[in-house]
Amino acid sequence: MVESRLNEKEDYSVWQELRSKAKEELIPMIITLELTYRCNLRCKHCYVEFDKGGEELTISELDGLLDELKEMGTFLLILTGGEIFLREDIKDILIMIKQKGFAQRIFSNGTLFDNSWYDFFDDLQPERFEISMYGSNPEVHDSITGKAGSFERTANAVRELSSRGHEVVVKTVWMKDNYRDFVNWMNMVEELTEAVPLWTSIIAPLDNGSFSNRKYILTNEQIKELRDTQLEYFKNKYGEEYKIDDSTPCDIQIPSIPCSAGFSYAGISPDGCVYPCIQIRLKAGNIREESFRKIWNDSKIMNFIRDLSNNPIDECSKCMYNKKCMRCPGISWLESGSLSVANWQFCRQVRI
Amino acid sequence: MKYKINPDAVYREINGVYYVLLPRDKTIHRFTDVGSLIWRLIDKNFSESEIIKEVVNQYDVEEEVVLNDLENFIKELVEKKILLKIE
Repeated sequence: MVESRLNEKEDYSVWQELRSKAKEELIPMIITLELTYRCNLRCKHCYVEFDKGGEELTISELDGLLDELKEMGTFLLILTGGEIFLREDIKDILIMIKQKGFAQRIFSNGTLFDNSWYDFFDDLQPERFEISMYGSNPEVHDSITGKAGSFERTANAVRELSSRGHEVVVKTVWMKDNYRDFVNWMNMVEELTEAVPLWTSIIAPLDNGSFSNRKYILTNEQIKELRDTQLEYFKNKYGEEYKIDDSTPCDIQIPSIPCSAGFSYAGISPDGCVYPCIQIRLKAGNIREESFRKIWNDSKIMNFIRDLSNNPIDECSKCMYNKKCMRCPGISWLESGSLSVANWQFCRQVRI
Repeated sequence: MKYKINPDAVYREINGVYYVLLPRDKTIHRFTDVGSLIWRLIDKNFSESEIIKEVVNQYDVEEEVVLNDLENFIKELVEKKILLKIE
């Protein structure tokens, strides 16, 4: 009667099946809830317009939204900001999410946690934490976050959460200020937590379209240097067999929207605006004006995004590296105002 | 001995099939059609006899067969920590 999937590989297949069904049936299975744009750090590359206006959804408004999302089949809520632990009512929000039966993934910088928070998380049991660390030491990390002491507090949070059995994924963005710290960073992460780290060298423009953070993007030479360092690191760690997948020409149609944005995923801003993704800032509606269900089902923007899935990008479809490219239509949109074009940051990354 | 659904379990029904995620254990489970029916009834706090009656009605099977299947199903759910025993 019950088909269970207990080993990691098979677990993944059930998860993929669920995601695929959700996409087919237009079930908003994963929602990113931006709970605030307030932040206690000022990371120099961040795409968020800190402290920008708009009244945050109240807990009562969130209550109604969550009931609707549950009815529509939402499984996982990704909670992000800003720094969500700046909200005075965050504990009540997290409890409410748990009681309503959602899995919750918490994005945080971890700097505001103390022992009472760790005890609280033990009861809450989030699906996982994702915490950004931009360097292996305070000099690198704090110079990027703009806050002295942030490295120590964040490292303590990762260590403590991990020691209590929580999954903590440490993430970073490689940029001019930190890319030479790769090996030390990997060693630090390995010491702090068992979870596999995540990183990118892509810097997203700001939500308002400004690309003032462009100056932190690695040059071609720096990308090459970082890749060589990574290859050397993995070779030392895993032996001679390790190599980066060399792509071969792949004759497939690459759609403008290759991901789940607008199909089984959406983003909601702190003041209730609904977007196909938090990188695709095309406002589909606001839950203060109409229901999420109506926005999801009927809005022109959501349907425009869905129609785009049948619209291949010639340039990408012909590219010999398209199998390994992680092109994000949101980054294309923010940079060029079009969802249907290649993006130089991704093109460069796969070709170097 | 009674059972309750693990409060950490996250479950949703898609086209009549239930998926259950246990965030703490990083496991996700898919139930068959009959398993999904039983889970729906457990979620609605149906008693064991009510569940058996419902399954017999819907699947035209012997009560004894259902009882045996239900016991195995519950046992498996407990082993996988999807259901918790209440002493």
